[in-house]
Amino acid sequence: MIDIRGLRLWFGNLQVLNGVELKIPKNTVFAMMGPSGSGKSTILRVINRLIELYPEAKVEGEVYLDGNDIFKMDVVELRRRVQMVFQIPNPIPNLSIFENVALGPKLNKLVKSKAELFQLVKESLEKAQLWDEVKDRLKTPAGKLSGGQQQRLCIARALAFNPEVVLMDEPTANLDPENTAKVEELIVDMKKERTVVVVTHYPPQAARISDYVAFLYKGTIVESGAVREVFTNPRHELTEKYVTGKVY
Amino acid sequence: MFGLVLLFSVVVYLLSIFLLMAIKFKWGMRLAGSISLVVISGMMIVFLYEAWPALEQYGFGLLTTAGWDPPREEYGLLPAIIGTLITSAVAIAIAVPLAISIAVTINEMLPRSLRTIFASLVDLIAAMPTVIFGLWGLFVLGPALADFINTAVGEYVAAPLSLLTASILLAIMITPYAAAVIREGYALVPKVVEEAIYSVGATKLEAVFIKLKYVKNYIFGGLFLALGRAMGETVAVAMVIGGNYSRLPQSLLESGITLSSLIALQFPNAAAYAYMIPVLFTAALMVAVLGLVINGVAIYILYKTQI
Repeated sequence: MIDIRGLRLWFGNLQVLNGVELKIPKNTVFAMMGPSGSGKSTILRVINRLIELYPEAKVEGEVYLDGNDIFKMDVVELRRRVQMVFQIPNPIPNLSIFENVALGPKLNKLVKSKAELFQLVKESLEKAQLWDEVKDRLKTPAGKLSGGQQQRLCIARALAFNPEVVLMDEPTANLDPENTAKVEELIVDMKKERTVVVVTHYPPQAARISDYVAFLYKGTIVESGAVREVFTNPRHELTEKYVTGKVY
Repeated sequence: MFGLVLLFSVVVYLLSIFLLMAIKFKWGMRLAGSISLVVISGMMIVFLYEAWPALEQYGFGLLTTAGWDPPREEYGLLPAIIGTLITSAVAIAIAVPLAISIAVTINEMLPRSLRTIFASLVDLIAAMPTVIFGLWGLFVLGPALADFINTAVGEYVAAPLSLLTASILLAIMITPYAAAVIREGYALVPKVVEEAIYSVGATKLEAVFIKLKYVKNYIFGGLFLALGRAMGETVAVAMVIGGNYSRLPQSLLESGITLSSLIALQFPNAAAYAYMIPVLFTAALMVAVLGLVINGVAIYILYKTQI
């Protein structure tokens, strides 16, 4: 379970998050929705500390992963346990399909032999429903895949770690409907073994795939709760306007 | 005479371009695009024309024998060719790792405010007149290097002016060129790729290696730019290489000669001998051919590894 307390964040002088409080239960799909610029993606980048790649960002507040303060954890271990799938599919384009999935396990010494590595890559690609499409060209550079395939490759890359948490930053924003359906199916499937935090700015998607949902507006959580509750009986006027498509 | 003919034909060529542009723009532009081809082949033709008497007299042996005895009209360019290849190779071997380290340091280690300053400083080294390096190499680097080696080995083995001095001086001079290209490429690694690398649990060092692999085309580019500079560099090398024209160097610690420094050091007395001017033109032709071949190979490799 992820526990975010009093999270505030600035990019330079611009305050992006003002006091975010969130509890994300284990083995659920948790959707964060809200208009562009409300700070959804930024929260994800705090949870796996990728925010530290942005030198101008300043973070205050506490985030706990299963009771451990993430800012005191080893950052490499944290990123191994908390995987991320990005809005723009971002396999490392010059590495092959196989290497893209194998890179993480190799760097983190999760496997002992080549056979084991191959097995892990195969299973990950199968879980991401990509194996059948790429099994004959595992050595092709990942940059040559289509956008939807690249995104599923990124999901396979994340799954190769067997992570506790998968963060997804608008994973279907750049995909066609067919690939969107596949990725949504994967998300629902993933929650059997892990927690999925998915950012979306499309309320129907949140309604389709998530168990819990939070609505962000200008860096503050306006409302959060079980998905049925928030969608059918919103307590806040802004939430109602958003889920009915009146605020973007 | 021949030069005048060539100049005339270039002028005619330029005029025809303007004329064509006025009549049919597309063809005029195509002709203008081929201008570099015309200039390069024009230069090659001139070199070949001027070098021809020597090639006729000495044949291919001019390139494969050692010897330099102008009063007897005996010439051989092998020591200069070998010297050029050796000094460039050693210089590149030193310069490229250095350039990569500089590029990574600027992009990864330095605080943001210092990056531009440091990068400009490195660029400034490239902008310095080469004769300054030559003077420093002649009076500081050469003696220091010879002292160091003679102390280390314990007897008199190294001269201050040697192939090694020239190579190290070259390495210092070409590093900024390679560093500039690699640095620019490294800074172009997209943020999404960087995030991908860190999100698979890479440490900073591992991330640097993955990013270097991502920008390998820029590393190649920097390498070949630097190689071109190293092979063509004249004044500084002429000052520190020792000017050993006639003997094949047996080791890096001996004095030697390169093609371009040979031309620079010998042209003042060339007119006094029957065949020296054509021989120097042969040397110039060799520099040009080596440069073209190396850049051709570079372009081929880049084309093959393109993703």
